[in-house]
Amino acid sequence: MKVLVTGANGFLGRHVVATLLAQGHEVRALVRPASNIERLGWGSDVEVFRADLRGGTDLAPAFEGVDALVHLATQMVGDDFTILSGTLTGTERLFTAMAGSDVKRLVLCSSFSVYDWTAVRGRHREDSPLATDTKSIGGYAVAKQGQEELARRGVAEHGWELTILRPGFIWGRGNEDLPCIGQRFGRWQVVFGPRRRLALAHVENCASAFVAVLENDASKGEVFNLVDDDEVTAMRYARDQRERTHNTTTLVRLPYVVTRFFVSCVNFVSRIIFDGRGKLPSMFVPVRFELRYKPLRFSNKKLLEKLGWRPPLNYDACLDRTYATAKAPKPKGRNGLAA
Amino acid sequence: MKATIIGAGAIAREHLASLADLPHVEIAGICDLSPVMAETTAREFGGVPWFTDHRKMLDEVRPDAVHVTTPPQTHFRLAMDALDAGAHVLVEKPITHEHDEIAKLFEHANSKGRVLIEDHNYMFNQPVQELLRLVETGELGEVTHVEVAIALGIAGDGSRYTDPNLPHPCLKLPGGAIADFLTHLAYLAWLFVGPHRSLRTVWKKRDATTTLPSDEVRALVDAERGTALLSFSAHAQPDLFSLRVFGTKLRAQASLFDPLLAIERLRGGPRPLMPVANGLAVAKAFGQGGLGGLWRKLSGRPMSYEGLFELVARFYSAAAGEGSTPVPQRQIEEVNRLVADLTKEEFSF
Repeated sequence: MKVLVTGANGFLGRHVVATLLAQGHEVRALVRPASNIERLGWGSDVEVFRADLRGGTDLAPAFEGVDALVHLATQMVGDDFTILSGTLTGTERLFTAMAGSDVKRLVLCSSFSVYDWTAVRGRHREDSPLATDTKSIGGYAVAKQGQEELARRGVAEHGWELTILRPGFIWGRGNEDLPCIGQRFGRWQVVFGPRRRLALAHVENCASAFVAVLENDASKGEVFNLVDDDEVTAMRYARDQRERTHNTTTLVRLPYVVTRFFVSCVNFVSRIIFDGRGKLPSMFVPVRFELRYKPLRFSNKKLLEKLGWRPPLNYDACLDRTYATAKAPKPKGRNGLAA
Repeated sequence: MKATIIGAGAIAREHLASLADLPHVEIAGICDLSPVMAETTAREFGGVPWFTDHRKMLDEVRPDAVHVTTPPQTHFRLAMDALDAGAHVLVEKPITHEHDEIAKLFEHANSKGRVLIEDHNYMFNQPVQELLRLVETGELGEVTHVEVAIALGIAGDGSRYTDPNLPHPCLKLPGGAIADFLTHLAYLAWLFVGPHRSLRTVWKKRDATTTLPSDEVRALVDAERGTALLSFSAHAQPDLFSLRVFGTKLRAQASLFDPLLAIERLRGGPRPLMPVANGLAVAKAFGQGGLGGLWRKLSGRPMSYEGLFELVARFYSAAAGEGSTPVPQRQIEEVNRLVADLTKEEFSF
């Protein structure tokens, strides 16, 4: 199969490209005109198509001779509006070009952020309620919901065969500091809800899932949540990270109920003082706070049942790959000089 | 009154937010070349009709007012179309960089009896209005000099002005990315010293690696009622947008980012104590300004765009025949003449 991959040189994209190649597929990688891809070592294995989805280059040629699109590209830099407009206009241009081609197969990378985390209880599943308050969830989540909507329109209007993957917090080498742990204050790492299970999704496991759904017709028309299999708590990850990076961070436990109560108090005070029109930092917006920290159970049950897919790497293997290059600091001699 | 907007970018959201509290004004249509942006914005602002063709919107909605918030190169054509449709028009800055086009726009607006303004929003920020009051009441004395300074890190990585993948529309204007800010510098100076007679500018490219054609500009302006020093820096930090007015009785510094107005004045009592009293007054003003900015942010009230809300309210009053235009034709013409002259000398030093 020849696959067009957007965001191909991004954190997730480069692993998806590598996994596709390893599975014997051909890859056309869509990367921005100014992106430096030399360090990726793609060589002649990967056909590179340079374009910015938001404007400029005609995207129609990118679909010529292609069997499927894996759409990973998302505007990640900038304020909420920049992320929203960059992601949506880029996706719109991409899908318009796809509509003019023969390509029908689409795998879209969405996100956990599309859910209404204040309404999710117990086990988080694919049919958990989606967020509807677009003013609260932030530009990234609105953009991801918009991408899903545009893709579904493609299904309705052009008969596309769509699979949506919603990964949890994607981690791996280059993205070790996760926002779902807590807050860092200098050398203090406050861990919110230390016994809470994290919705981790290692980047190599994610790449494996993207290729698995692409190869399996049973995934067509489906939405899948995507997380690692091992149940890793916030405190365990924080400890492992400290150990693997040999830093001297002090870990401070703060029960989830305490932090959530504090968030509620801040919201209550804001509502009283500003008559409901107050604007709080994202950490104090309940739906965004709970996206990061709410204690829930996560699983790949649907991916396993429908496709028989399991993450290829367990937690320890993920740790090994993520922190493989971290070295212990050199011992210091007298006067603070290296011995 | 039926309000519509052409262009659903970042500034459009501020315009739309400013309409929400206006009585007798309803958002009747949103237009953008991108269907998804038009639809998403329309949904956010009450599920109003959305369009991708501005002429279709003008025909179907028959708006009383049109906000033009597209890239500058398109302003003239869209504003003319809106005036043709019989609407009052508020155009984002710069209204156009061709003086002939400004004349044509006003000729057309005047012949149709419609209000046409360029967005000079910061003149309605509360500290600037207070400064204008000090001038009007004579408390400031005669204005001798004004300094307007902007410092914003637009040359760094992540800036929309330096995105190598999608060049910003303002890069095509004389002055490059800085042209996006010159109108603000020009009208804030114009308000206090009037139209310019001559000027000298220094355009610099401090960082040779930046993709911007220039990243610093200073201009010394000789104007009808005093002098002005205008400056933009893409490197000075922290971010700044300040207005300093020097009068014969006092000098005052306003911030356009925070609700700050610090005044140093001639005071009675022993002369050696005057700097102490002024220092304490300035320190108090800065403290209050910083806290006021934080409070305003938490309250959800408009931040530095507070002036836009006032300008839009006055625009609709003028459109309804209940007040004078908030930005007179003469101001727009003279400010744009200053902007044009500022860019004429680009790279001349």
